[in-house]
Amino acid sequence: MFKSWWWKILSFILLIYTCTYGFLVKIPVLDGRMQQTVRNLFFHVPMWFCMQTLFIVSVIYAIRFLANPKPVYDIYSLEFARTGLVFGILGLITGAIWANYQWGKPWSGDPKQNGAAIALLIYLAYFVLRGSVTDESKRGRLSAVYNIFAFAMLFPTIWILPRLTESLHPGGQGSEGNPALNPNDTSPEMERVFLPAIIGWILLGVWIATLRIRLQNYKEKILSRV
Amino acid sequence: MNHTSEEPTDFMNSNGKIFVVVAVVVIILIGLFIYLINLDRKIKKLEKGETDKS
Repeated sequence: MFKSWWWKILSFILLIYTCTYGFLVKIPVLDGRMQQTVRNLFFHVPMWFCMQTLFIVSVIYAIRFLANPKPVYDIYSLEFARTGLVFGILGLITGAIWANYQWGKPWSGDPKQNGAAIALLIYLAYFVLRGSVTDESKRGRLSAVYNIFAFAMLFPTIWILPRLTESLHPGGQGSEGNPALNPNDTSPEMERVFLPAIIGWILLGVWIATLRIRLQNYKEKILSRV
Repeated sequence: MNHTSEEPTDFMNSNGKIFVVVAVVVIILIGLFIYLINLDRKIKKLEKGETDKS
């Protein structure tokens, strides 16, 4: 799975498609409000889909580690969380850039912005926690438990609370649409780029995580020889 | 001034020069993938024990 090329090539094809057709696909010509920035649907939004997927994989391996404390499970859990955090930070930054020109300022205290920031801070604390525990046998267990807590916190911060209150993002009370997009702002042709974009970016995130895991595994192997 | 207001006829200048943006993004993407492919192959070589580089 790690070594096979087909899904990495698929990622490349999907992302080339996204990054070309994403700029050329017909968008609804609206009142000059969003204009071309609605194309961020293919770039900013998939960052979050990618982060969530990677965090799901991370927590699955955290749970598996608690059930059966094999060190590889801990490595998988760590590196998927690490890569997920990178995509989350990219999502936050690209969102702030987009918000600056769409909503007037980079940070509006919008529920989803705040929720995402809190979720990422909780995951940042996961790495601080790992660094502070020197006893290797304790570190894996403690990290796995915290990982489950951090993942559980994604529910209120990202998936639930932003839908329950008024929000600048789509999906909030008083906003049209679901948390991913507002159908009034998108054209049917855009949906054809949106799904390949999500899959492409997720596959890219998984590829980066697996590279880190393979490197960690190799380092462990070398160290255990000494 | 000698400029005329004729429509641009070549490809990259058409459509509000969006194709320039497409070219930029595609170059960035290809560059990223070349980097990842090389990293992947380097790690594969390490795993097979063929090189001493870390």
